[in-house]
Amino acid sequence: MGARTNIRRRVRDVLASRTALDWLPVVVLPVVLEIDAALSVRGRPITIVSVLAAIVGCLPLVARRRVSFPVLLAPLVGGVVLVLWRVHPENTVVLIPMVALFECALRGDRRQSIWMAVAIGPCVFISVIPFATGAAHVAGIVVRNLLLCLLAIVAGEMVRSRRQSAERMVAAAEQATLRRLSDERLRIAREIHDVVAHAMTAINVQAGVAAHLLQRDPGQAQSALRDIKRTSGEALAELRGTLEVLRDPAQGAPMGPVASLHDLAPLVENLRAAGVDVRLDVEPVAELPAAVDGAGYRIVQEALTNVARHAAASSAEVSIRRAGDDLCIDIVDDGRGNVQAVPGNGLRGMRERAVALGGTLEAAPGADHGWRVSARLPLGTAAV
Amino acid sequence: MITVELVDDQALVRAGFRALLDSEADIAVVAQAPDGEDGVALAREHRPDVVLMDVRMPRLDGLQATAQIVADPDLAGTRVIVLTTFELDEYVFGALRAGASGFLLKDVEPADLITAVRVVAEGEALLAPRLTRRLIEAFVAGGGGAPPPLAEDVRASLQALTPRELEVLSLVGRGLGNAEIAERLVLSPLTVKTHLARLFAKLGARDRAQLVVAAYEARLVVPGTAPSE
Repeated sequence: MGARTNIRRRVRDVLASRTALDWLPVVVLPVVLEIDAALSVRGRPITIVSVLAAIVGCLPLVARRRVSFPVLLAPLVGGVVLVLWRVHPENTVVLIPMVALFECALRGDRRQSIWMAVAIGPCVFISVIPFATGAAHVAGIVVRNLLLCLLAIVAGEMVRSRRQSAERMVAAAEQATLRRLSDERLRIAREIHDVVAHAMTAINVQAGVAAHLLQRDPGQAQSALRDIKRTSGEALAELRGTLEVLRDPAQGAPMGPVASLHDLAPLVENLRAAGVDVRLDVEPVAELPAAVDGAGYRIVQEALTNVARHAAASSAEVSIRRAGDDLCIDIVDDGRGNVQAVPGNGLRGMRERAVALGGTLEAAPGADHGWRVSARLPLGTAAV
Repeated sequence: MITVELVDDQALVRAGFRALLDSEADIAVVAQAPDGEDGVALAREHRPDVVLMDVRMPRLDGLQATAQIVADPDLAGTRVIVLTTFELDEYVFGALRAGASGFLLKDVEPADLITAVRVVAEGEALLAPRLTRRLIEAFVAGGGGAPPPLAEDVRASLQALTPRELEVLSLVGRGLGNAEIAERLVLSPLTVKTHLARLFAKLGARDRAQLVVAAYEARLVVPGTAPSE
């Protein structure tokens, strides 16, 4: 079952890679420009020269994600002029600066966007002048193209600020998780300290009494020893109660087998019985640290439980593979992706497990449907 | 007969200390309290020679209770020993500054506890000199940084001291007993006692422990330079 998914994933990876995205406008825009030119009022035929000019004119866009806007500006204007001069499109040439402006606004900051909005005016003007047929014509084109350019900048700004606020929210959630974890640890440490210190102090004092008075006052020494017995027994019971909290309720008896990613079959069987077809795509990972193995299993278990409970899904896919120094776990289903991430659905538990190992966990609706849980657990560190 | 009051919220600790102290012919436990508030009230009622005071207690903690006992003119003859589980922290330091005569760890050997009560009731020597100095060093030095500026009242009262009194104070700060001080300065033990009495009065100190704190705070003893017994 793995081969086809692997090919699909490769194709997806290549398409999503940087290089493909960088060259995309150079492939698409010339086609658009040529069609526009061919359909325009002046109806120029498509020639090799015009095609080359269109491609060369779009070429600066390849660097749009690598260099800063000031560097990009001159080649961009040159490209636009070349296209206007040799291809004669009607309205679509403005797409070239729009792509660049959108991308630059997306990667830059607000100051750069304002700077771009100011700088683009003269550039539009200069590149249109040589090809204009009259003052009214120039004004019309300049105004329209300028507005479109500004629109691209605004769009880039909006997408960026949305991404940033999403990142901030994730960071805040991670912070809150860390804080809660450390609060909890602190509370337990304090509780254990209190129990132990309290009991040990009393036992220590009473032991001193027993030793000191053993000869002189055996009765007193004996009652001190009885107190030691009782106090230590009570402290043990209290410690047991406190440490109970640290045990994983899902794990049942502490003597039970340790959860492992090698034992996913029973989980899958359970889900199949519940009517969800689960595909496992597990790449063998050598020397999986026990902490990562256990946490990974719990994450898969929790995610699949959510699929069964909330997603109304008919199938799900669990993929586990190594990426660099991380173990990547993805659980994707084909159900309703619009399920709200309610606090009770174990999401927090999953994230805590990932964060405790120095990893991350994201849970969000999938690209087109369903729900996706993605965890990255570092393999190197044996944290916790 | 040395009379003792026990203030601790753990009944078992109180019972243990009581059994130990009562087994000595010259010591009698006359009162027990489970918190600072009762502790202060019972101290006023029984006027014990020594109060063994826990730090962490409900209602009124050991620091505040110590301060109240020390501030009460009716209890001028009562000495407070602060008991601590294992933390030599700023609370214990604060208790010394507030007027406690010394402190003990609760896991003290029974014989040492009994000796401590006698030493403090006597008022001659510093209780647990090495530990006390270490604690004071740690908190006066403020963890290795520059020492804090002298408080205005400490500066004023130091200026009222004679050169001889300053000498005696610096030796007390190093943990020396009366006999050792007399030997060092070639004085009679009686003269040393007179100097000490003046120091107590001029610095508003109740006990040797406060003199040690004052010696460190006046930088008569620089942290880390005191001889380690």
